[in-house]
Parts: sequence; structure tokens; C-alpha cells
Amino acid sequence: MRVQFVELEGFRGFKERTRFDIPPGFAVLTGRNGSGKSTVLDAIDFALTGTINKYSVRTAKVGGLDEHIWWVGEGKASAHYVAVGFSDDDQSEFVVTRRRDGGLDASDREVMARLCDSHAPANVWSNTFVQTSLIRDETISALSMDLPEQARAAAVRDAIGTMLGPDEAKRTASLLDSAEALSKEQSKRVLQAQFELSRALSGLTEARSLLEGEKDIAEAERVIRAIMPNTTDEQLTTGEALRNEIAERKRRAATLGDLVARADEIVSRRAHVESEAFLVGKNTALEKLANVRRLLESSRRALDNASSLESLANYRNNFAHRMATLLDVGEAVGLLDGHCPLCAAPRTPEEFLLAIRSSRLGVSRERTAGQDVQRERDSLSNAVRSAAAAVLDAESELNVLEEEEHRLILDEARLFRELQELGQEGSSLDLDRLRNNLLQNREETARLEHAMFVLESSTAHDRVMTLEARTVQLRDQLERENGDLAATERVVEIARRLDRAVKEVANQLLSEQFDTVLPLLKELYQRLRPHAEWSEIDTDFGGHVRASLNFTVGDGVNPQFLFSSGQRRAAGLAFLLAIHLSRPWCRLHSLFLDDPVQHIDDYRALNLAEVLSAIRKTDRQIIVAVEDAALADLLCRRLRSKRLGEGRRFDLGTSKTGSATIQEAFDVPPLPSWVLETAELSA
Amino acid sequence: MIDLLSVIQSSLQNADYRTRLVSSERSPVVCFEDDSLLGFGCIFADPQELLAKWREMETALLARYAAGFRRAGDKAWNVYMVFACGTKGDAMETRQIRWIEEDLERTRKIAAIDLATREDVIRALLPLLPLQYRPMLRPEDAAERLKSRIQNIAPAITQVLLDPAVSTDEVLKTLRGSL
Repeated sequence: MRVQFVELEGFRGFKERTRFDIPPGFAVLTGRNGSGKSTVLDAIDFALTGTINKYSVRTAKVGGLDEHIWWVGEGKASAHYVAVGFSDDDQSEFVVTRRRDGGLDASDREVMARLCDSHAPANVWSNTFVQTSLIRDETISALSMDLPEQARAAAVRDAIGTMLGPDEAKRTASLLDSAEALSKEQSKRVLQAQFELSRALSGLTEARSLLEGEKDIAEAERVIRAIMPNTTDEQLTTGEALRNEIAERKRRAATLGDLVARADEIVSRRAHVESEAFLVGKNTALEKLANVRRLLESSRRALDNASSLESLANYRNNFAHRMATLLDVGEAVGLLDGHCPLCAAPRTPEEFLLAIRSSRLGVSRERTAGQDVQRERDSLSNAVRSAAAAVLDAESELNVLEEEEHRLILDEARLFRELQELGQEGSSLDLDRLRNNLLQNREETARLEHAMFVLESSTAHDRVMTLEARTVQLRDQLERENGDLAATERVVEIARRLDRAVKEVANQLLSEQFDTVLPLLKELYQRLRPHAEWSEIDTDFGGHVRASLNFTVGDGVNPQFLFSSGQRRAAGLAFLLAIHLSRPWCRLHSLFLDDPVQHIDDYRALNLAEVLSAIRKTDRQIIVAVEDAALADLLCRRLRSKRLGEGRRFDLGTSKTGSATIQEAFDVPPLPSWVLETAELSA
Repeated sequence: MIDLLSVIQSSLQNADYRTRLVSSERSPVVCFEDDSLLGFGCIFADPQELLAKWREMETALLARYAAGFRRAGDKAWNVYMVFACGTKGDAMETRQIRWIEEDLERTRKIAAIDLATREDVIRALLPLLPLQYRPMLRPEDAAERLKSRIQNIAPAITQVLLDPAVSTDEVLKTLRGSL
């Protein structure tokens, strides 16, 4: 089966209806960039897959691939479709048409049934078909040498792996996922069972500890009822009331203990207050107070007397002072005409002086008498202050003793009140009785506590029995869960082994298939001669579970990181051509190449032309798009073959409307035969 | 040691070329032609002679068949010269001989030395020959191999694991039940 024609309108750069009638031999499409060469091959891709598979990026802010599939240039296209006609070896024809409105005119399955046999990859046949039929500039590197080793193996699997039957690895992977999920769930159940058993064991340990303290329960009940006569059976069972009673008794015992201590102190204080020493001391203080009060009284009276003499003394003192001043003046003035200036009495100077001196002596005596009176008063005043202080001291001393008695009375009253509150009746403070009550309270509390412990021990027994049964049950459950876990883990292990086995078998088969293809790959590599030094390539199809495909040249050198871009492309081309030629499931004997010679020098372009010529001899139709007109000439010359069918060259360009168009199409006739023989004969 | 000229001739004949030997001043030359190309195979005693004489040989042959080339039209662009010798050369000679091939003037040159076996000759003539290998991939019965593996790992599910009609949950159940 071959491509018979490609017709397109309103598709990509072709606005007008354009038809490429492809001869059974080969077609060379050439033209400048943007002239529509690649679009012709894109049309085949689009007709079969509904997209153009060379774009790695399909969306963009200003419109993605889908917005640029159809004509977006000036004016409107009359229609929007691509049609690819195929002709079978028996001359039957069928056309695959995909329109902008309406999509594919046949079902995908119908198209597949015409182009492929039953071994085609059912779900992805169209993509695999195009990827292995159409070798594009964009994919030569991306799908060959520059692929990661595992992706390269996957590309081989896509191309030839369908010969191996359905991919069971997906099924075993699903089985493994389910088994692992089951195992994970079972692990959770085991953990839960372990947790519950652990909790039960802890409870059992506590219950057993209580049980060890089990005593005579009847005696305990008797003790409780003796101490707490109103206790009910329910209260005994629950133990709550008992625990409250014990707590209350302990609180009261503590309070009573404090009161007994205080009573002990008060008794001591009472004994002290009523002691003879205290009474003597108090009487002494009273007497002392009375004495000092009397002394104060007498001192006050003496002071009052002294105070009345003080005014007379002050008068005499003032008189003496004035007299002294007058005498000084008189003496200073002296006799006036034989007369005393003070009393006008006739005096002689001697009499005058004697009189002055005598007067001064009198004045001095007056002054001394006044001073004596003052000193006496001061002395008495001091005596009053001392007596007052002594009275205060005595009062204070007496107050201390009386205060002690008073505090004692208050404390005794408060103690009685608090004792009554605690139920300790009695009009007098009986210390021994209080102490006995306290001891009795503590004794009863201890007995209650003991009785409660005994009762609690008896409930622990039931609890131990319950928990032991529960523990046995949980152990059995855990055992079962562990058994199930072991089973699910065995299932996981088996599923893993199955998954691995399926992948290994798939890879083994793929490796065998690839080994079948390998000589062709090596031959194509030798023909394309990517590298002058390394004329042979080797491969390593490794990985038991995850297949990988590595290329090596020379002594284990990796061409991926050694070859130049052009050399890698040439090597990649060998790989893609080998894959294309090895497809067993494809009925279409057409190879499409879109500008396969970029970055390749003239010598290797020539090698490629020779390889394509050799491929032609496998009865394949070749449709190749190249930009270089000289290379188009070369291909037209080199692909010509009378025996292998005609060729045609299409020179593409742009029309006045801006649409890509066929500027010229001409058949490439077969070359003359037996030139050398004719030349020899003519020579 | 093979008869290089006859091996070249027979290899080309096997590739559907018409061939015949013609005489030359040095040694016989094998002429070959099919419906797309024509050429000449020349044998040299050693790499040194090949390096020294190939251009002279090419010129002589082109001159000798010039009239035929003129009548051949475009086919005259598809003229091949095969320069071969059976002995080894040193590294420099090997490289120089490779450069001959990269000389794209006038004719397409195939230059090869150290051609000791028929395989060597085939490898050298590859640009002229059809594809040597045509992989014939046959459908493999993977199911049988898989069943054999599954039988060894989990006999209970040998039949159901590969049966798409049985869900994986059912397979899992069967597997668990078998343990």
C-alpha cells in the first residue's frame, strides 16, 4: 500500500485547494522555508492522528496549535480539510479525510484496519504509525540518540513491541498495586490488634496487683459497718462513699490534731496564769503602781508650792537688776554739789561710795535668793516627770499581765467553739479526752482504709478474670491478623515476582526482536557513516525489568556525548530508519522524511540519498521534503529507477494570495539503461 | 586471500547490477550498471598505489567513457568509482583513503583497503548495494512464556492472570485462597 495523493485546503499555509498526486516510486518536495513542504507531511499526520505531532508545546497565550491548524492568513479559505488517498497493491483505493467541521470521515478503527494488520498497537496505533513512518527534523534527535536509554527502549517497544502480544505488565502492575494496598490495610489491622492487646495487658497487670492484696471481705464489711453503721450494700460495692468517708475522717483528724495542739498550749498558759508566781507578780505590779501614783501626787503638790514662790522670786530678781542699773548710773554720775544723784541726800564722796557699795551688796543678795527659788522649782518639776514615767511603767507592767489573762480567755473560748464544731462536747478542756478522741479517729480511719483495700481487692479478682479472657481473645485475634498479614505479604511477594517476570519476559522478547533488527541498524549506521573514525555501532539492550537501550561505538564509547550534532542526527536517522523498516504490522510501504539533512554535511547527505535508494529497493515509496534544491536534484537522480516506479518532484512556493502552492511539478523519468555497454560498443 | 575483482563483480551481480570486466593499462576494471547508476571497480596492489593512482584512474575511465556519459543524461551524475585493495595501510594511509570518499568532485568514490573477505567487500560496497538485512519480525507467543513463568510462581492463577475477562481483584482473591 502506498500514498496516492495528498489533498488539502484551508490547512496551515495552504489556503486554496491543492492536490499532490504522488507516484508509486517517490516524491521530492522542495521549496524555500515556509513554502509548505512540511505541511504536506503534516497533512498526513493530521489526517491520521487529528493533530500534528512534531510540536512539543501545544498551547500558548496567543493561541496554541489547535488555533493554527487551519488557514489563519488573509481572506477566508473556501473549505478546511485534508485528504490522503491510499492505494493498495490490488489497486483498491481508500481515502482518509479529516475536516475542520466533522473530523474524520471514517472510524479510527476502519482506518487502522486498512493501514495495519492485527498486531498494530490498538490504542495508540495512529501515533505509533506516524512516529515510525514520518521522520521529521524535530524528531530525529528527540526520538533517537538524545533520548534517555529507557525512553529509547520504549521507542523500540512502541515500534516493534506490539509483536509480543498485549502488554501484560499493566495487568500485573495493577495486581501488585492491589496486593500492596491489601497488605497495607492488613498491617494497619495488625497494629490495631497489637494496640488493643497491649492495653488489655496493662489493665491486667494493674488488676493483678490489686488482687494480691485480697483479704477477708466479711471482716472488712463488719469493720466498715461498725464504724459507719449506716453504710448500704451499694455503697460497699462501689466504694465511693467509703472513700469519701475516709477522706472526711482524715480531714477531721488533721483539724482535731491542730486543736489538740492548741489545747495543750492553752492548758499550759492557764497553769501559768493561775500559778503563784504569776499572782505575786501581778500583786507586786499593783502595789508598785499605787506607790508611784502616790509619789506622783506628792511631787505635783510640791511643784505647785514651788511655782507660787517663783513669781515672788522673779519680782525680787527684776528689782535687783533694775537697782544694779540705777547704782551704775548713780556711780557714773557721781555727787552733784555734794548731793547723791539718786536720793539727793548730801553726801561726802566716801559716804557716797560706801552707800553705793552697800546697795550693790544688797542687790546681789536679792539676785541669789531668786536663783535659789528657780533651782528648787526645776528640781521639783523633774521629780514630777520621773514619777509620771514610773506610773506609766507600772501600768504597762500590769497591762502585760492582764493582757495575758485576757488573751487566754479569748483563746479558750475559740477553742471550745471549734471543738464543739468538731463534735467534741464538754464544758471544760479535757486534754486527755481530746487526745483519745484523736487517736480513736485515726485508728478507725486506718481500719476503714484497710477494709476498703480488701473490698477493692475482691473487685480486682473479677476484673482480672475478665481481662484474662479478653487478653486470650486479643492474642488469638492478633495471631490471626499476623497470619493474614503474612499471607498478604506472600501475595505481595508473588505479585511482585509475577510483575517482574512479566516485564522480564516482555523485555526478553523485545530484546530478541531487537537483536533481529540489530544487523539492519548496524548496516544503516555503516551506510550513513556518521563518524569517520567509528564506522560501526553496537547496542546494549539491558535491564531485566526496566528495559534500556544504549549505543556504543569503538571500545564502549557513548556516541550520545561524543558525536557532534550532525553526527548524532545521522546516527539517530539510522536508528529511526531501522525501526521503520522493522515494523511488521504496517501495510503502508511508504517512508516520509521531513527535511532529514539539517546539520548534515554534503558527504553524509549523499550517504542518506544512497540509503534512501537502498530502501527504495525494498519496494517502499519515499516522500521526502528538503529545502535545498541541489539536494532535491540529487535525490531525484539517485532515487530514480525504472524498475521501482516513477518519481515526481514538486517545487513549492507562495501564490499572490499568500497561500502555499505548487509552482511546478514534474515527473522524474527513468534513466537510460546500459550506458556503459553502449559506450563500449561505440568505442 | 580472495580474488578481489571477482568478489566485487559477483557482489554487484548479486545486487542486480550488470557487470563486465574491461581491460585497462594497469589491471582489469569491473564495469557495473543498473537502472539508476553506473560505475567502475578498480583494484590496487596496495594502499600506496591506490593513493597515488586513483585520480589518474578516474580520469582515464571518465575519458574512455565520455561519449557514453554524454548520452546518459542525468545518469552521468550517478557515476561511482570503486578503488579497492586487499592489503592494510597504516593509520595515515587509512585516513587519506577515507578522504578520497569525501571528495565529491566528478564522481562518487568508494575507497577501501584491507578487504580480506567477502564480508569486507560487501561492507565497502554498501552504498551500491540494497539493504543486506531485512528483519522479519514474527509475532511471538509471549503468552506461553508467561504462563510457564506464572506456573512456576503461582500455579493457581496460571489460567486467570492473563485472562482479561477476569478482574485483577478476582485474580488476587484466587491467589490468596490458594495460599
